[in-house]
Amino acid sequence: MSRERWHNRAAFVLAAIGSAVGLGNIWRFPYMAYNNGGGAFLIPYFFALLVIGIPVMIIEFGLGSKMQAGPSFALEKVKKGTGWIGWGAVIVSYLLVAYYAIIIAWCWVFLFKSITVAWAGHEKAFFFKQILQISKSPSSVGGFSIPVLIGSIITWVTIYLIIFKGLGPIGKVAKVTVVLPIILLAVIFVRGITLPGSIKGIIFYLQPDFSKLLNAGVWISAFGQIFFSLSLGMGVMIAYSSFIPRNSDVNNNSFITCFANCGVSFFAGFAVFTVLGYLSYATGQPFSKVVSSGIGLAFVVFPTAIAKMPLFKAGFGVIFFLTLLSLGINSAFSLVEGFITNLRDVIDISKEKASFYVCLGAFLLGLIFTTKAGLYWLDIIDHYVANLGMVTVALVESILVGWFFGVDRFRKMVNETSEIRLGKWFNVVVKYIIPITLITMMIKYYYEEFQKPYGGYPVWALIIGAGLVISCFVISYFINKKAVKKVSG
Amino acid sequence: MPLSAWIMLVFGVVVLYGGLIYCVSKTKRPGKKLPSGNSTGKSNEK
Repeated sequence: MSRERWHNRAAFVLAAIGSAVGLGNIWRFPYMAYNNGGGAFLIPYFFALLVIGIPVMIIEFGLGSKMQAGPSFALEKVKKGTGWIGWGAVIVSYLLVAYYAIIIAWCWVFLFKSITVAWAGHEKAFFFKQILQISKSPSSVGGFSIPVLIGSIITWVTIYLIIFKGLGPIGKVAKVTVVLPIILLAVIFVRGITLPGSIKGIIFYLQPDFSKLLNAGVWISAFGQIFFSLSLGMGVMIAYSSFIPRNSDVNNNSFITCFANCGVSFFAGFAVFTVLGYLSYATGQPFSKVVSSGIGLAFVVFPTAIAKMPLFKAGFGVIFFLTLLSLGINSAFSLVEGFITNLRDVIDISKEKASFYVCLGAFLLGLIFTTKAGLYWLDIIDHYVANLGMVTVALVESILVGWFFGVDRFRKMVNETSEIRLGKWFNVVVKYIIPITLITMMIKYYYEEFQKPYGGYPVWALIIGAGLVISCFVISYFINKKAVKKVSG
Repeated sequence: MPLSAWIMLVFGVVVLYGGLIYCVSKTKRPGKKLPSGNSTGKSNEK
């Protein structure tokens, strides 16, 4: 059977950029920069991009396009018996997309509520009590939050409609969902910069504190930011690149994807910090009190700023949540596509059917996150998916390519078809720097993990979260064993 | 805005967008059809 193909190179690159650029570009990067030396953070960030982001992207694009297989079979071809890591990547990503879709569901709810700025005056209570209807602890599940459940259904129907017909529509949708958020961010920035206090926000974002560069934690944060924002270690990039012909460019496509992702993050910082600067001005609070990241930034702090705006509140709300929505949906369908690619490498099933069952399964899996304890479980599982799942996968990939496949052989293979040639620096990076960096990130994570329970959650809940991610890899081992037997026999 | 903030702004723009523009300029006819294989974009249903 011949593989599905992207329409053209632009479709592939845009889809990869769309997968990499996600909610983290808006709600994580600007805060990381602010917290880690402001403009000075750009130095470790750029260094991390060169020594970990781009090389791991080259490994993943190289594995997919040269092996012409999804994550598990690509790794199996590098070294027999390692395909389970590829299965682990896509199953963990499947778990990830089950709760990522819930964040998109919140965006749908806020998008509709933007029309009347329904949260005005009680932003925190609106999100936690009215929308999430949050319970007191992870054990008090307490039924579904109906707005979130409806949002989740809309999200999964949208994802299904985008992916079920194959790569053609995905490429076309990616063109819109990559360009649209950039235009919307520009609108947010232009509106933000016209508000009082906005320049103060930009100064907080950019003013460098070079003394922070002496702190090892800042460098680890930069490595983490680069790694987690590029959709690495999830199997998506291997899956996407398996649909380009073997003789396609690998290196330049990786450079373009990584630079575009980081460029969006950098730009998003201006949009976010102009609005935060205004919020600080409007509320009279110091900047350090209004700045935040993650869910709090998107669903509490930004709505507060929107409600305080002098004009175009509703329009600004619609633009902001449409930006989040388009960023989120792009990453979400790429994760689903990664899982389906691996599945269809083994099971004889049509794309329509595979898409239907996979979307339905993820919707059902995500039901726990639509309950009143959903936010707790989302936070716990997200913590383990990132730190246990993705880092492990990327570590194994780099070790396999660096030490088993032969990094020189890999470099020559990708150089043959690429517009940018990799020098011997790539060998050093893949063999030593990437494994050492990822192991350092893991050590830091385990050290903090055993210092105190994550987020103050009960230990039993954390054990379930960690157990769920670990069990994905255990299941992967048995699935891979069967899959290899089926394909070879 | 202080000079140091302007310098970091220029650094970010040159490194990230300059890097992106350089790489895009190195592509051979961006958007051209991929070299081989089924380029219809349709899935090969079984």
